[in-house]
Amino acid sequence: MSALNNPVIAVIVSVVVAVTYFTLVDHFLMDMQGLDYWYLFRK
Amino acid sequence: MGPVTRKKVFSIMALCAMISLLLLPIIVSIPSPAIGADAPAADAAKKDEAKVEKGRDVYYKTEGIVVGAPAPKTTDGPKDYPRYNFESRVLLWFANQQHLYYGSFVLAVPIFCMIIEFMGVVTKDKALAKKYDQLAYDFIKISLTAYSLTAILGGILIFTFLTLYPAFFGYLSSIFRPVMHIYALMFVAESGTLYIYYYGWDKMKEGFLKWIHLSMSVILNIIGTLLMFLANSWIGFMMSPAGVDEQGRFLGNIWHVIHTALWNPLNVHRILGNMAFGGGVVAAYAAYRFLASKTDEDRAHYDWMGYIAMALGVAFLIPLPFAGYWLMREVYAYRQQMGITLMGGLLAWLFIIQATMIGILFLSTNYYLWQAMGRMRGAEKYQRYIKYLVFILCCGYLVFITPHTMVMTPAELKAMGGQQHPVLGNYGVMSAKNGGINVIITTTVLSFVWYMRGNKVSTLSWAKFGNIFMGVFFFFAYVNIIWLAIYGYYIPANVRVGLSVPQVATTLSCLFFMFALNSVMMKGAKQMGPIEWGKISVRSQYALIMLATAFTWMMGLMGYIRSSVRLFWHVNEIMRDNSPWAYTHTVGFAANMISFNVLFFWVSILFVFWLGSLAAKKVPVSATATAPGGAPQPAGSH
Amino acid sequence: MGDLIGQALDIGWPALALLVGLLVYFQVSIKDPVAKKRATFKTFIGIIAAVMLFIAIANYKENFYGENRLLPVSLVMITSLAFMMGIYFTNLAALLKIGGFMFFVAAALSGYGNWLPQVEGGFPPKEEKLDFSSMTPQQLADEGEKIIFGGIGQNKVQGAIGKGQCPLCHAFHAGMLGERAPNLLGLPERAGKERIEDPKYHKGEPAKREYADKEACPGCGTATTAQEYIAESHSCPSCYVVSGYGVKGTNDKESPMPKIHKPPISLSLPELAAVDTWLYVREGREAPSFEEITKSYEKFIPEADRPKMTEDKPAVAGALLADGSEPVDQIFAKAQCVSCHTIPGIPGATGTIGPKLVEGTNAPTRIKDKDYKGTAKSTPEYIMESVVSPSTYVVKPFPDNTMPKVFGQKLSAGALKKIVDYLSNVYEGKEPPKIS
Repeated sequence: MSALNNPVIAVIVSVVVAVTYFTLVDHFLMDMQGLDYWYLFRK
Repeated sequence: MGPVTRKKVFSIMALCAMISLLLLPIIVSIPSPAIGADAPAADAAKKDEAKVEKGRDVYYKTEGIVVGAPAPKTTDGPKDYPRYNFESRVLLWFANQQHLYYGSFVLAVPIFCMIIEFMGVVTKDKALAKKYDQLAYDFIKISLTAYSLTAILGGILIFTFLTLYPAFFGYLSSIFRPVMHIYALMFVAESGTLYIYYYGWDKMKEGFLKWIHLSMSVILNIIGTLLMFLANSWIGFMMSPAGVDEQGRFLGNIWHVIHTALWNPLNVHRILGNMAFGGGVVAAYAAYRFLASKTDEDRAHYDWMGYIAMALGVAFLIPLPFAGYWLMREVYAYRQQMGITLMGGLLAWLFIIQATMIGILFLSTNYYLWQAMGRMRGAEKYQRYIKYLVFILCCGYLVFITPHTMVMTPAELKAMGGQQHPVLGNYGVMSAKNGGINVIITTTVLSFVWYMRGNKVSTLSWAKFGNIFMGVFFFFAYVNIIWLAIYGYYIPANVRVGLSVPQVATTLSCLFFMFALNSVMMKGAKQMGPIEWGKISVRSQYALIMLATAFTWMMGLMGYIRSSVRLFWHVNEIMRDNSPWAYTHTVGFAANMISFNVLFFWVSILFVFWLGSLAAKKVPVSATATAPGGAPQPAGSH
Repeated sequence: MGDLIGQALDIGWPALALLVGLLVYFQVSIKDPVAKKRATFKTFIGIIAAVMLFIAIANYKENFYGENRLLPVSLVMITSLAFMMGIYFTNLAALLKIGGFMFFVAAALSGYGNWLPQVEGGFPPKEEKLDFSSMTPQQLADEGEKIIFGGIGQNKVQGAIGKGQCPLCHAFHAGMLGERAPNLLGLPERAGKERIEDPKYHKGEPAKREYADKEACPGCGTATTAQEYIAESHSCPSCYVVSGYGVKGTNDKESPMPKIHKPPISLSLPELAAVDTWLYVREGREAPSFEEITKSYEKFIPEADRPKMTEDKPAVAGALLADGSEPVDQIFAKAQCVSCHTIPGIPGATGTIGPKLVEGTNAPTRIKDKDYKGTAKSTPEYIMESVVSPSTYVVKPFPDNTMPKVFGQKLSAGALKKIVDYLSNVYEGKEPPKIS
């Protein structure tokens, strides 16, 4: 717990969690509709 | 038999009476399908010669035996459309709207009562529990006065219908006859339970009796909700008829008539709408009492009441757009043309107004929350960031209300260089708008979080990480919403439409995760100072009134849209409107009419409130009971 | 300004007189100087507020149809007078302020609504009681033209198609294209002579016919008059096929034309009567009466098969053949693709006037053909191009200008997409895709 209270580590962990979470939301919610979230990048 | 047990027996008897009132219409209704089944049987008995005519359900596509008369073909004239020297439709509009305002208010308030009474029962803090209980009692008192007005307005509505639209009303009541009777019985049941509930309040205060009282409120709300579902059934029938054949002849299955394509979406949308509306009206009542109160104690009580009502109203406002989305999707599924008339055709400008209203509602909510931080010691640390929130909100709002295609004069077209502005036109598309509204809602969530932690400092060991995590999460939520909005410009339309789902999910993630995380972090937090109820600025109360007025207006607007989408049909595709008022009014006329209805409603209900305050003055005993005890307590997680 | 005050006084003088009367009455009746002063002052405020209110009303009335920009002035005046009253009448302060504020909000929204462009949804289209039986021949012919071409006077417009969809295959004027079906110019003349006297027609002896159908219905017999011939052709196209217009490979024994009284076209008897009346009237001939025509159809269409007249939905000019909400097989049927093309997996699509549509296999080779001048790069693009602009590339040995060039206008984008999606997945020798 103390390591997490180091601001730098806290920020890094938070960024990783948030970015991963939102990417997963984007990907899977598009996938559920039968659409491709990465459309532009695959082309 | 001791006095306590006698009380118990009485209260249980009262509860049983309520349950039987609830069951009464159901029992009465059981024979009604049987009658429906009898009629064809009787027909069959004497049929031999009389041919049994079959019809095909316009929606369910099932075959059924024709038992009703076809929808009358009306002609313009005093027989089908008797009239005064005035537009009948406007009279009906007025009567309907007033009845609906009062109706939704008296249906919503008991639900609040139930929630608040329950909160009072489960709260461990004795003083707070008492406050909740008193608040619930105040709520029901307000609704009781409005209740009789609802009934009177309902009577006026029926008379207006009977006198101005006899042919149409005759047809509807011929189909909905059993439903209307059950409806009337339900109304009786509702009145009965409401009075038992209200007058039993003081007698059933403690322990076991309180629980019985609470279950009474549950029954009261079940009856009220069923009442509304039944009323929705004929509205649904008018928009998307079912259970009749092409000529409008009833085919004997009353469930088909009730359960039309739009019935369920309407039910959900209306419950949520009623709750948000009820919250707005109660908040306005609290604001009125706050502004009128002379003592600090009164101010503290009504400040608190306004806050609770606003919070409940907004809690139901947030899911409302999603229910609206479902309703629209069902409309498109039912008749694409109807959806196009709504969103891209004749009524599209009304949706622009609606977008504006939604923006106003959220802006007022945010403004209220910022003002509310003024009553907490320690919230100053957030005050200086509010200007940035204002900026974000304004950007979101401006994008959200940018219209896409406008009707313009050639000169205007030339000046702008095309149908769309070269830069701003880009914000008119759905992709940008979804981004705009989600930014607004997320900002509202952020304001709420700040408000809830205003006077507290978390004492948890991981508090620092928690704060950083919340900040980062919100930041990336904004990034994700805006990124998806921009991304939408670069991908084809069929992929783009799907982007709204992750966008909404992002907003909802903020709502649920951040609220949950925040309340965990604030558990047992150190308080910088108590919430000083009543210390809120007067301006904030105007925000509440704004919220209430805007909500009333929006309800009138959406009701108008829903009703006018039938265009020149009484019953969509079954019964034509041949009156001289079969055309659709201009946006301006509708807006004036809605404003008139809104003001009339508020004038009348302010009058009701004023009457209520007169009564309160006469009974000093209850007035002192109303005042919250001594030092105001912090209201837990609120 | 002077005008406004004058008008305000005009409207509000009774109220103002009442207030002034009150003022005088207080002077006389109240003895206590403090109370008197207060009463006087409050009445005075009341008078000012009343004057403001009436000026606001006068301004509103005056400028309602004129200077719209001045209307908000009234709004501001009424709101501010409510607040002003609130300052001095402390008992009612909260009510007055709230009322004033609510008025401001509601009226501002109203103004917003009026500021937006105003569209009035005009009256509904007059309910057309299409009672064909009581029409004059000309009216009936007009209705017929609407059914065939979608509107009165549309018969010479290329690509005009109505509910009956006849011009998809038939031509109606000399020199207009129509290789798929006979040109109908002069039909009333021809029907009674050439056609029913044709030995292959076997007038009165249906059993001897060599066509796919012998009779329209068991016992219906054959036509004896020109009108009956037209009626029989509508209700039983394969009872007699004009040489050269049969389905390819059947040696003219079978007609590509659908039965008009059956879905998807489903014209009712009165509608068919209207169509026939137009055929006569447009050539300046005297048409048989409505009853006679209906009777001729009753001969060939048994009662159970007669579609009901669909009221309330008059065929609209420019209406789509398919809007894309239907399953793809219905789109093919509604657009009449099935009459000319064979499409694997689509019931009833056995036409041979155009090529068999196995585009998953064919399209790539067509694009590579040296004669191909189109712009398509992929199978879906090729199919879209072929539907919307058929003459861009014509498959050998089929003739050009056979397929109508109207599908770009007559099918919704959704319908076109479904067609393209389906056809691009049809491969030679493979299972056809699922109908969606």
